Amino acid sequence: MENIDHNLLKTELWRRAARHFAQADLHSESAAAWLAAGHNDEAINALLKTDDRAQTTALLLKAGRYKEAAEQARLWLKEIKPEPKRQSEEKIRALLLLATALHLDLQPDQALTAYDNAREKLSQLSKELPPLTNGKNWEALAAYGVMVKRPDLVRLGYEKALATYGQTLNLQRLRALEEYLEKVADDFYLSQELKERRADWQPKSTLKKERERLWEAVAEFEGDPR
Amino acid sequence: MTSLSTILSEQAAQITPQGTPVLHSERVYCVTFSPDGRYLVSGSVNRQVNVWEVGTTELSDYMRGHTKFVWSLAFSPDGKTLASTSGDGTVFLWDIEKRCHFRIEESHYAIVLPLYGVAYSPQNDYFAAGCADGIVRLWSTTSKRPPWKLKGHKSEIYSVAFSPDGRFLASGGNDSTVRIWNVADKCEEEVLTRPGCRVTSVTFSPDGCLLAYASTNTHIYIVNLADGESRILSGHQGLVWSIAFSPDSRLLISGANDRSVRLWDVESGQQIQILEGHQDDVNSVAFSPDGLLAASASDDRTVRVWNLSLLNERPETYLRLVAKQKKEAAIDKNPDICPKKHLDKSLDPDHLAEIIPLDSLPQAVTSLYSQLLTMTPKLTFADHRGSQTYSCGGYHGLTHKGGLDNLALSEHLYPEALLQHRILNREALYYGREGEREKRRRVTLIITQSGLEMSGTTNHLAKALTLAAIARLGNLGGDLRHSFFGSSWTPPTDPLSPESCQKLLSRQDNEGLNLKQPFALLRDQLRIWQESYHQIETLWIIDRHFAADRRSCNLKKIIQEIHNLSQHRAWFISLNPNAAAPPSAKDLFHQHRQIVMQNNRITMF
Repeated sequence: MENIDHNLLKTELWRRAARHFAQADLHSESAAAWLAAGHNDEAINALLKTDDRAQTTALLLKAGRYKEAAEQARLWLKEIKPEPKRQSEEKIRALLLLATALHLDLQPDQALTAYDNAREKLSQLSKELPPLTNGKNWEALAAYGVMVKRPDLVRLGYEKALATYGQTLNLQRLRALEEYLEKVADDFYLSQELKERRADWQPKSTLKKERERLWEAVAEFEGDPR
Repeated sequence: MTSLSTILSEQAAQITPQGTPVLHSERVYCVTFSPDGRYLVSGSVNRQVNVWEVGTTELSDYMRGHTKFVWSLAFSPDGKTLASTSGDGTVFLWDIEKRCHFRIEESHYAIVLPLYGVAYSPQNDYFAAGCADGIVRLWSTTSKRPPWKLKGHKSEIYSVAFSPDGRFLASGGNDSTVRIWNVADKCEEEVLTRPGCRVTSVTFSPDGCLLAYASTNTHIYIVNLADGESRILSGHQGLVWSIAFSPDSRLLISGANDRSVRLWDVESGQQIQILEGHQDDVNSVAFSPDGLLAASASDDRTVRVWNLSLLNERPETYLRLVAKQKKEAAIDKNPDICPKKHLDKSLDPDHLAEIIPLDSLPQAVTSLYSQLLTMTPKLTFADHRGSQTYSCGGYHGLTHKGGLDNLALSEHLYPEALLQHRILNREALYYGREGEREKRRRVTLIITQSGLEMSGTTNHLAKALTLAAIARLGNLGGDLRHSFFGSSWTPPTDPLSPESCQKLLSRQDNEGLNLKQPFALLRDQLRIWQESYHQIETLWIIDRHFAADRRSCNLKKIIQEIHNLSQHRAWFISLNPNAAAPPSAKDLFHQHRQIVMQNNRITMF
């Protein structure tokens, strides 16, 4: 037993699971298993059989199949149902993915049109959408910035997302901050600033929190002669 | 003949704030310097003891433990321990290096009795604190025995102080008395009574000759310990909260609820300067151990540090300095006295330091700024009778021809190799023009991009570049203005003042870039200027992706108009050395340079 290569075994198990899921027509699950096994192409083929356009497009972009990615993003845009909330939320992401695909497929004019539409919607809806949705949209802009090598958009997207999540969605804020830090690791001063922010935003231990609360309660400055 | 007190007053008139005020989250009650002069420590209503490195405005650290306001602070003579008293009735002893407390003493067992003034004996064997119950508590630093209780006061004790030889302890409080205690015998030695004068602060002079105390009746009293004679220092318009002697016992500083900090000449009893700036009651004042700085803490939530270095000059040195300054001023007024000297007087880093307090800038900006100054050519303008001269740190031979008005910014656009050659050879090239003197009809507008796209290094670099541009273009005979271009466009300001530069550096734009409205406003400003200036130049300091988007605005027309109205050039900031400026940016700015920063090194090409 000691000679078994556990990684090889795990990969093989994921492969088998993927095939079983496919036989049962569970293509999303099959794609997830293929991804876990490290087979992106099979994962894409499985996803193409589903209606999960977002993940299919993202994977196609990752695999460098830009034309197909643009096609998927266009399909996604067509399929978005006219529900006010979901529509706007999905449309911004679909447009940004389309813009990425077109940009990388060297169709700059069409890419810019899609991007302009997405930015227009982002600024229009940023005050109407709930913070979580709004934050995700700004993160999508940052992801676009990463793909098309626009560091200004990476900074703008993440900064807006962090401000949108705010203290009320602190866990989301911390998650986004970690991703932001990863993306701007080369920027020394920005990384330092972000690490300082992370230290401020990290949830304090419950005991410490309780002590803080007690301090607040007792501090009435009774003996303050001023 | 100038009298010594006049010289002192003249010197005091030149006291300047050191850096920007240190902002706290709550009112600040006490402030003190560490004996080695390294730290400035403050205590605040926010229950924290804040530690600042002297010379910075960045909080070095804070120490928490008190549950109510921190009233008073005192360092042990060796500087290793800090004592703090609080409204929660405790005195904390902090290890200043480890930033943690190692001993807590309480004034009470059942009900909370706030502790006010605290002091360390010079021999480091006792520390004492005044309490709200009118008892001075004296603890031994070497044993943990209960405190000695020195009873005599009838009411709260706000301040305590040890004499420099450690033999006596003075305490003052709400019962209008100052009591002097014999530390060895733990008994009362003397009582100074002044009815109607509640004592807020008491201190011995470092030479041990004087005892001073401040009171609620706006006066400060100085008692000569040798003969008991006392003098009154009057001038404050309100209750005096705190006093401190300078290390040489020559000066006394006081802070009061008339929002002023005042400096007094101890020998003559004259007020020599009022230091203004605080917006609320001044609660505490302190001298640094070398006497070159003073600090004041206030209810306006700031601690201000004052630079007293000039006050410490000997009178004869000071008079020599003044004479030198007067001579330089005369040359400035009439450059023909010494034209060469005048020509050399460009805004060098040294000169800029006079305009902007460089030590108060964020460290990132300062380090980038000094790098940038070595990379941008030095340009000088001199306005002589009948002629004008421009000079550039340059190379042999006149290779640049063209209108003088066009010269300044063009110099910044030479290829890197040429610039390096000029800088290495330290050569100067003078552009002269004889004939009728030209009027100040040129304006240069520096436009810095702001907004969330400019976070981190890009932001620091943009601000440092702006400062470098101000330094290099600020003395060229024309007018210099500065604007921000971000979510909105800020109207042009004159950047050659400390306030403007501070404002410039602290600006934070919390929105993204908006192209349409700022462009239109800029165009309108240029149109107005067109009527009063015959030459308008703009220098843009922007991210290289500036204007890469064409969102929802028809910019082409406005940009064309701006092209027609001004000569504009750009410095593109990039963090990627291999990235060229995008076509959109090149379309907008035909003349541009790339400023690339990688691994903390800046290159221009």
